[in-house]
Amino acid sequence: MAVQQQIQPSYTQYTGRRSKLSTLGYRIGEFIYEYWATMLTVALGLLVLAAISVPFLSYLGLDWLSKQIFYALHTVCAQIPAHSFYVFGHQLGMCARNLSIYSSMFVGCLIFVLSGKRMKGIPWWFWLLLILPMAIDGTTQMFGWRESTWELRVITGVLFGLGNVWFALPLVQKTLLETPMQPRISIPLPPQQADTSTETA
Amino acid sequence: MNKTKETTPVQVTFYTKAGCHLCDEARDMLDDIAALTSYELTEIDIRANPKIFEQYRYRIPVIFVGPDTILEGRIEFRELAKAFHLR
Repeated sequence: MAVQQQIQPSYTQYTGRRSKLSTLGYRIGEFIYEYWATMLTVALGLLVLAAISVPFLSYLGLDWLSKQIFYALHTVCAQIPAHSFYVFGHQLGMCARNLSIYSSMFVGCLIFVLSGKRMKGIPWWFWLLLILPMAIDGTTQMFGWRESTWELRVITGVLFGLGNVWFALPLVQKTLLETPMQPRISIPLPPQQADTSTETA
Repeated sequence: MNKTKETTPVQVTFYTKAGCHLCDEARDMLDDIAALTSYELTEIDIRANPKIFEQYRYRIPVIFVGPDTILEGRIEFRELAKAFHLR
């Protein structure tokens, strides 16, 4: 009995602290669970918008802003001038291939979100088939065996981007639906202490 | 007795254009190189000549270092330093 009296106050203290943290964690988890695809769509949309905005900002005289965006986009793209599109004589923030990849991923994500995350996925072999053209086009160019064209970069990039989204997003959603969510408080109460703890709360 | 070594500075031609972010980056690199070695720079705005513009519009920044080294597009500092025999 003496042992039980010692344990009880510390247990109450522990659950009190944990509940605030776990509630916050649970809410964040719930938000991500519900809006993960929307967040991804927004992120991709912003990335594409940033890349397209670079020449327009330069044209409008906002070179300081355009330059910062351009430099920031170097983290996701090599920005080779000969492989890029130009608007008003200014280079876009991403090369043709990357712009096609991210744009098609954005469109694919948007369709997935608008379908209520019910879009059916593709089998792995079809996904491989869609990414294969870019792998061939990119590799042969990288080794200097041939030079690609902007048309090929765009087509293979779009197939790659759509293939990835079409394969991965339904798979992620399926996995999330199959995984049961954890209850808010997972500490079971011993039967003899249940009444006492309710009174304390 | 002091021996002074007379060497002719490297001739550098830099093709650029206003509003080209990669050119700004390359220009900064050339300034960094200037702190390490001397060279003679000729900066050419490609818009001044339609023929040059057509030739370099999708390639700038283009840097000729000496008679036979050409660097273009996204230029890395180590490549530029190597062209000046600094690394």
